Amino acid sequence: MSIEEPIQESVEHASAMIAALRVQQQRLTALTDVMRSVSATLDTAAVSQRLVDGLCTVLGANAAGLYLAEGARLRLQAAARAGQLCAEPELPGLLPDTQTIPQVHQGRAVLIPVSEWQPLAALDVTAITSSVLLIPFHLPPDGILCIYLPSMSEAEAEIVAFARALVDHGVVAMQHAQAHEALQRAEKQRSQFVRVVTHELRSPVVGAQSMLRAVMHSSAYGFTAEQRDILGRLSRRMDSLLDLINDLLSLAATRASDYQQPLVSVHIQPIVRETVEYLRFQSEEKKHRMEVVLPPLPIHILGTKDGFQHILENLVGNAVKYTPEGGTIRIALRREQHTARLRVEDSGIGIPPEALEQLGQEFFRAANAKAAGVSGTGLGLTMVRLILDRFGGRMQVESQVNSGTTFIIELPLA
Amino acid sequence: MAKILVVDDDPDLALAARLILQEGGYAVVEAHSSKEALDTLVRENPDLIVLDVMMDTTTAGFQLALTLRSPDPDSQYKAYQNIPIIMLTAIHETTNIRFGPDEHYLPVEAFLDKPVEPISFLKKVGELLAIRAAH
Repeated sequence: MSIEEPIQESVEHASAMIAALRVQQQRLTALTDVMRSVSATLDTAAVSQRLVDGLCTVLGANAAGLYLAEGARLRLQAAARAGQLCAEPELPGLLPDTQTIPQVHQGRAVLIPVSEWQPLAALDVTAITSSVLLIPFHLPPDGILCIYLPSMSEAEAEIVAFARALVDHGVVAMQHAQAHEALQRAEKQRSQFVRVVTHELRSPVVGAQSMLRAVMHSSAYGFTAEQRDILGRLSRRMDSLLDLINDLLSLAATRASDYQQPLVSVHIQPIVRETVEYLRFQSEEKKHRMEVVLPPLPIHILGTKDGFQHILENLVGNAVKYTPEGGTIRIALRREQHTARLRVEDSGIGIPPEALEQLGQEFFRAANAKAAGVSGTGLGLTMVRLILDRFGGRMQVESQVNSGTTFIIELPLA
Repeated sequence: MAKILVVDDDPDLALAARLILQEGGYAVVEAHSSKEALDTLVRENPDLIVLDVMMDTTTAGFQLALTLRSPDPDSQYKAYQNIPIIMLTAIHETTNIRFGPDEHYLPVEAFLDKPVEPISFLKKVGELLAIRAAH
């Protein structure tokens, strides 16, 4: 026996081990890739599709399909074919439920020869498929993954364990996606509920306020000064109630995803002009000096017209509301490198330092705002914050009690 | 005395509008649906129309305005095309149609928020009637 032989043997052994390790390494990389891809979405349809695509690729399968229980049957949710996405699944659309496959029903994965797999008959991958791997998929609803493998020769236990690891991860990703979708549905229902309720609340208040104003305006009734004062108080109460209802309605609409318009390029100078014009009447009544500085070159932000208008109405509206008679309001728009910078400055009552932190919380109003007897709901800035979040914008507030407040908004350019 | 047609399916709002307009010295006729509005229009030939947006449907008022102002030369309401229209809206109303006078889209002369404020309402009515009288 030559001395080379054991060495030769060791070298071969080492090479085989290296090759095996490479395969393992490739599998692990593929596994991580699939896991990452499956976890990167919160959409149940996308999770299913990525899972079957991933399984198909990683296991070198001819095809893979995810079936989920629907009544007594299992319905195909997503399908993939080797090397390409399966636009039209060629797998059977329905399978008998898991109870007819006892091992799967008991929660075990099973690899069966293709000859024993009845539903495969219709497939064009039949000729090249030698076995079908069935893996239980435990969500509610329960389901099954069918993976059509080209050969039986690979280490059976290993491939089954590997596929199971992937599928288990897919189940978790699916649970996350389901929870996310349930949350979105709940949020949408909540918003719709608030909208319907607010609308129903609005109608009677609008009716009552309209009649009250008509009666107060009419000279036919000969009210005494005291009666007139009471009617005035009633009318102001109703105005506050309407403000609250309107703000709740806007808030619900801002949050309702079905009401969210897609973000587009919005030319903002005309919106600033319109909004200032809209609020000018109230401002003139209080003899404010209102200055508006707009750059001549158009500025386009990425947002929605309604959203930007809402931000402005709130900020400029607040400035008008909280600035005493004869005060000054300055509105300035400027283009920065990546953002549009809107500055709304007033010489109003200001915001106490302790209130600055709470600004934007639902229903929060600073003590001095309430004490000033200015009506408000504490929802305006909540909406501004929500809209800014959506546009990817930022808000900054500087204020000094009794000397004024400055709001600075920065919005990403389109 | 100028005659004004008030179209609103909410009798309380119609009443409020009528009280304000009568106080302003106008004659008022009421209609409570789109159908009734068209019949009353032909019968009374008003000088101005005050129209609510949301009636039987959320956009009934819009549709009525579009019918009245139809550019179709054979429109049966051709004779009434020039009657000014004030549309009463709630800015926060639950419809996704944008509010704001747009001559291409919605041919009405003015929008007023509900609940209407009597002084600005009468001012707007007076303005529109003056423009109409001048033509």
